[in-house]
Amino acid sequence: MPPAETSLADVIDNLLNRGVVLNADLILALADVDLIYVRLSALLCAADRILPRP
Amino acid sequence: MTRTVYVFALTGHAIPSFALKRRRVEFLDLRGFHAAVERTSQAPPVSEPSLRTQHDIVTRLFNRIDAVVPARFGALIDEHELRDILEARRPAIQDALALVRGRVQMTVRFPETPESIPRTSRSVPSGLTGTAYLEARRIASRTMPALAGVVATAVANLTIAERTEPQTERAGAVLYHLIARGNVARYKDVVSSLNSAAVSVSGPWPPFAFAPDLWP
Repeated sequence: MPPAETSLADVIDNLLNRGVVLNADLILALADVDLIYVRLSALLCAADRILPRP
Repeated sequence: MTRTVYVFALTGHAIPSFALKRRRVEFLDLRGFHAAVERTSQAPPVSEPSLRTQHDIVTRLFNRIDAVVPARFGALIDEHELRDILEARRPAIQDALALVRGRVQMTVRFPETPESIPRTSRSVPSGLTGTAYLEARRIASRTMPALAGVVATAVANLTIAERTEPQTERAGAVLYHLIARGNVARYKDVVSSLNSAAVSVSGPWPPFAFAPDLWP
């Protein structure tokens, strides 16, 4: 596979805006208004331990 | 004792560990897929050199492994927490790996074209309820140019999946296409044949835009 010409714009878009989010320290926002801060990874792990397994 | 890892990507299989620019990449076996990680206690700084290094590492993985789902920059996480998250989201990850196997991402950027946004959709009327105001503001700030439809139609027979990033008040619209690894030249030829100097095509990239959303 030949290497793509890598502009900084592509690097930033690929790495900062895309890709799977694994440790989601997240600010929930709607219409550019920041609403609430949530650490989703901790939330998911906690739910996984509290809720009964199907 | 907490053991943290920095995650570069989830992969369909493992390859021998390697080092690139003093970052050592190894693989965690997650029963059916792997995580390409560096054992470290610190996330890299947000700087151009570290961003380019991570991009190079993901690209190397992508060139050697047929199914790679890149992680977003900054994925420093406790190893046990990572295993819990990935176990809880196993079906979504396996679906994503199946989708990207043997495929690449092409990125098509469009210039910012304020004139293409209908004036009526750019203004938000007053006197709305809070919910209606926020929804109107969201719609007013995001749109896809007509040219994106032309490009999407032209490459439709090569496209396996598509993501769009509509134009905002700050940046032009972007189309992301997932195509077979062997179709890169044909894809570029088709877009070039449209004779639109305003359209910028780049790739092949690892499928950053086709990562699953693990946080519904």
